Amino acid sequence: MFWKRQFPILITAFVAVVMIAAYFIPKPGIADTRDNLQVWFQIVVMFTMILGLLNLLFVSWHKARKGRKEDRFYNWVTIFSLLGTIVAGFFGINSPAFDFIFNNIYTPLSATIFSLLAFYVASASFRAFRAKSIMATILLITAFIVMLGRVPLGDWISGWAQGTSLGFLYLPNITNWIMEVMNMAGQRAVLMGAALGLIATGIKIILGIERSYLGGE
Amino acid sequence: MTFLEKLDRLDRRIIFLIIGIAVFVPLLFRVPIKVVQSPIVQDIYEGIQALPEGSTIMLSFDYDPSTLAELQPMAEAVVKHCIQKKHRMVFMGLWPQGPKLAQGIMDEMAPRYNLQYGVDYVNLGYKTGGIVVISSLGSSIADPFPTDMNGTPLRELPIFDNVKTLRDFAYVVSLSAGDPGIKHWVMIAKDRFKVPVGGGVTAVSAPAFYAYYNSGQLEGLMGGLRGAAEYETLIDTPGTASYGMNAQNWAHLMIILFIIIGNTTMLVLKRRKEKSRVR
Repeated sequence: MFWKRQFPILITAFVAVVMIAAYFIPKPGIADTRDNLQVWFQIVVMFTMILGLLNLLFVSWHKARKGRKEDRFYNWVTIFSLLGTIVAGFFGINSPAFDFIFNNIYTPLSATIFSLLAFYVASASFRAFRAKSIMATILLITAFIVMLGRVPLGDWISGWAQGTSLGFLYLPNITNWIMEVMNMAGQRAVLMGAALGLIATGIKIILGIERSYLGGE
Repeated sequence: MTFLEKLDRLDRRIIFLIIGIAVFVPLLFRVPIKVVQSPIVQDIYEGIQALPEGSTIMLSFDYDPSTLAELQPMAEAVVKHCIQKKHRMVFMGLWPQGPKLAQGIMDEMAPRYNLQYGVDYVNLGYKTGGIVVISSLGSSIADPFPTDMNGTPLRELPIFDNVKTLRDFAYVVSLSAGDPGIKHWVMIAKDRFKVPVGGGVTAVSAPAFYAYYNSGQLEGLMGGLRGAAEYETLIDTPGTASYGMNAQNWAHLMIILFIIIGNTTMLVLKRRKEKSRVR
């Protein structure tokens, strides 16, 4: 039980206290310990990547042989892509094979999938972006202004107001104001709330109160 | 079914087609659009502009090809600006795919501007660990990166003669699509080591960083394609973003029209329903 529960908690508490202390006490002794821990962290993270890779390989292998018939093909694609990229990588990150995979397969596929978002946003804007309440209407009007203010169209529509006493009607100015005042106030509140939550969780982990990261019961 | 009811249940494939045309057609006509500068982009430009010629700048490519359309034009614009100012550039990535994207830019720029690898620029590659890598750079660059991307030891690269730790960089530019990214550069490079940090993020994540900009932790920020287009306008070198703004213009216009049509049909149909209920 000690090795499974208390020992990992002691390691966690030790590492956390050293890292916090090193931030506030920049002295050689503690800084060296921090540097060593940072190197260890990078080594551990590297092994988690290998673990993830093996996990993907085994799960795909299992599904390719015993999974749903219609999905088996995609699992073989995953396995061959994974192994193909690894083999190409062994010839060097600048090898023609790796360059070909990265520039002609991975990059266009990745960019294409993300680009599909624009189509879904447009469809969702038509179906879901409705002024059903006062709050939704305020959100709608704000989105309107920001969307117009972020493209040259906003400048063309309201350009007449720039430099006049009605300059506050110039859409890029309104957009900047919304982003730098209204948005920022909200974001700051979210950030501070999250930071306080993070500190509380950190203290709970250091003291061994929060143990869910250890898994098990 | 009336026309309005049909419109309310518009097939989404028609919406996809309209958006596709709105994006594709303007891209065929490569017309660069100059955009109005916002202070947040101007600040990052001025930060790099104000550095003495030959300063060493860290450019961290913390994104992958999925966000290439937004972040690569920013990277190209910042690199062009650094070349104009004769700054030396050190590339790295907290995301595995980042350094390869940086290499793509430099493969094109280096011969064009006669830049020498190891003297004018260097690519350190990728290292796992996110925020811990940045923290390690504060102790020594050679700690997380004993060699560059090609396996050359740092001591053999003249660019590192006077650059040993993160503190020796005049500026850090992080082009970030998430975690790890610009937030971590702010937390370590700016807050702990007092190195100015600026950068670029996708349009959808930009609002979250205004608080860092307002507090002075972030020198400046480019948000999405618009941010990149502003930077291109500032360095007077129209590129992908300036051409792309035309497409974005039309796409935004279409989305606004969709919202207007959606809400109008909803209101009219709702009123009709209420009237028929009263009768």
